[in-house]
Amino acid sequence: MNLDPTVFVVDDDPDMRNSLRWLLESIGLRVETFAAAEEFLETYTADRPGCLVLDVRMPGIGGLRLLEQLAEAGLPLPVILLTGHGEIAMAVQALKTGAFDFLEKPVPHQQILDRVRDALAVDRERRSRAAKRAAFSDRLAQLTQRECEVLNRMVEGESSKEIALALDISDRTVEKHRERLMYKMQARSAAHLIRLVVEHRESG
Amino acid sequence: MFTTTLNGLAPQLFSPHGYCLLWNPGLMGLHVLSDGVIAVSYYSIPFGLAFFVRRRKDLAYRWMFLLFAAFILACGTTHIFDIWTLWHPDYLAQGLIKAITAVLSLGTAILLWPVLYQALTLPSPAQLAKVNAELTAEIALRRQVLAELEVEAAERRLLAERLRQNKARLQAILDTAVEGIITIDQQGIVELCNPAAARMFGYAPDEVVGRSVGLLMPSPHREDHDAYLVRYRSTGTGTTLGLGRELFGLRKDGSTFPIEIVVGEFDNGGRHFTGFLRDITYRKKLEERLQQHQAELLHAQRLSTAGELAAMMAHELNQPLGAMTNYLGGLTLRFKTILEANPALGETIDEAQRLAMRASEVVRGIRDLVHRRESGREWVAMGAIIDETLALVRQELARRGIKLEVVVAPTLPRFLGQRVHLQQLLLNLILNAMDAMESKPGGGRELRIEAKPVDDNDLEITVGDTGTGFTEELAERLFEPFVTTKPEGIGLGLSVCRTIVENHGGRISAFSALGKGASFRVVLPMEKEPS
Repeated sequence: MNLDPTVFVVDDDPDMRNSLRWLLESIGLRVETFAAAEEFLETYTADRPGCLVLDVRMPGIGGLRLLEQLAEAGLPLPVILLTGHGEIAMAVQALKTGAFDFLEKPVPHQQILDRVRDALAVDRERRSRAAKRAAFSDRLAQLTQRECEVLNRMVEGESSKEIALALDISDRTVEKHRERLMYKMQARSAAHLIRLVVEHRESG
Repeated sequence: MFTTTLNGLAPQLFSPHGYCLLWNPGLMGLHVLSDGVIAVSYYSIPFGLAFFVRRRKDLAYRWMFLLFAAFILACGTTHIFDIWTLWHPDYLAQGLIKAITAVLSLGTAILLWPVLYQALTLPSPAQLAKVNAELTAEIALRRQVLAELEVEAAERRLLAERLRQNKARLQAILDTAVEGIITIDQQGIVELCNPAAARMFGYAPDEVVGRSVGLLMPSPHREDHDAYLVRYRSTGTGTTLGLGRELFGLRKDGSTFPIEIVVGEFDNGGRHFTGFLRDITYRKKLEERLQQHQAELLHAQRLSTAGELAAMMAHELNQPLGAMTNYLGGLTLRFKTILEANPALGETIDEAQRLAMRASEVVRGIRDLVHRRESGREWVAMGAIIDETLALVRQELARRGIKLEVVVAPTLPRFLGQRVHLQQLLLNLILNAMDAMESKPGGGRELRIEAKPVDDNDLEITVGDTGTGFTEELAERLFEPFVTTKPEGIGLGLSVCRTIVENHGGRISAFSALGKGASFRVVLPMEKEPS
């Protein structure tokens, strides 16, 4: 598993492929090029971070079709579409399908670099959020049943006394559960813990 | 007493006649008996005559019969006196009686002759019978002739009735005919004009009858027609007869309209012409619309081809130009320190980059020029677009013996699209299909066009043929510009199709079984009309 972000370039024109590699590598980005959409689909796995720079018009599966297929799979990475002759209808269609951007060749090199950097930032952000969410889920999974119950009541806004009364345990025991919860969930305070849980639920 | 009187007139000097007979009883008896029989017989005759005359009122010369009766009566009386004088010598009385008889006899005799002469001329019963027979024969003949006349009259009535029915039928046909019917004589004078013809020209039928048919023709048809009739009258030749010709008619209000006319000729104591006229304004309009439609499509085809070339050129040029700017951009980034040390070098690279962008602008300008002329989007119905496109190729399909099947789902909603471009898309696909079936035997040529909704918002149009088809490898490149299987083709048709479909936000794909046929599938997203 390679976790370095990569710019995947799919273009049937070798000149365009190679020049993009040359440009993107100039600012130290990792680049992989493919001559066809099918080739990319064969190699790519969704855990690889980065972004996709895709030519719209190619033989076989065109850029738009590849974008649609990726969208069906939950769009694992941002897609920048490049076209030799931008058509408004096609651009609208692409953006509706979920493309990150739609650029018309020749694109001033600075614009390509900016959009690629933006796309990589979006991907990084998305992946880190997904990772955090996954870690939080892991931590939630480590809680005991009683701890879960206490957490749910805390999120509902019940005080320690109310929780003790409802669960027929002592106030002291509730306090112990709360401390343990904050430790396990890596929260700074009870309020922080509740916010983390609410955020997690909302993003799920 | 009578005797006394007579005796008074004549002295008793004579002896009775019996004295002469010596009173011989035999002789006396003979005389008495003979005279008695004669008298009785004579007396009986006048009664018979009187009876006869009374019964036969029509008898000619009645008076003659009565005179005869009187004369015979008188003769009878003389015989009675012959008996009387046997015993009484009243000879004066006898003489007077005889005198009366004589007068009557003489009168009768005198009057008889002219009557006899006249009576000779009276026809005899035989003659009458003959005349009668002749008369009867004549009467029979007359009856027969009368009967024949009756039959003839009945036949004539029947003929008249048939004639009337025929006339009524003809009139009904003339009155209800959709076509205008006009007959003219050799001089061009209208003899008959049915309601349809009158209506067509804006006249009442009786406004046209009796006038020159030139009334209904605009110049120069009118002059041509007059000249034609003159030529026809002088030479007896003409060629307008028969199949339809397209001319113009002149209405009462002065407007003209296209008509189709078929002329017939008949002889009815002089040459006459029958014209069957049809107002073809509607047909002409349809033809015009079709032509206009064709012209529009042709124009669009040219523009699309130009557009496709421009797009192709843009793509082909923008690829290397794009690559160029990428290389130059990478260069400035990688060799920053060197370039900063040699400002002229950096400027040159920037200039090169600017030129690449300028070249690309030129290409974009050309492309935009073509695109700006394209028609805008409107609400269109796919069924109508298919119909309009087929109108252009129906004849050619029939000529090539291609069986056509069109299946359009009845519930297709209208959607936003470029009408002419969609027609062009269909036309290109249909023309390709027709060409692909050229090498197929006549019976197996089938073109199938289908339009139906798919998923929720998409419209799927399929154009399938039973032509030669293509390989899978070719199917992938088919929509690229300059890819063609036709020796004379330039390979832009399907490329144009793809551009049109993509401009509508749709997709086009090709499927084929080599040798069995091909099918092109277009999927268009339908932006539904707000209701």
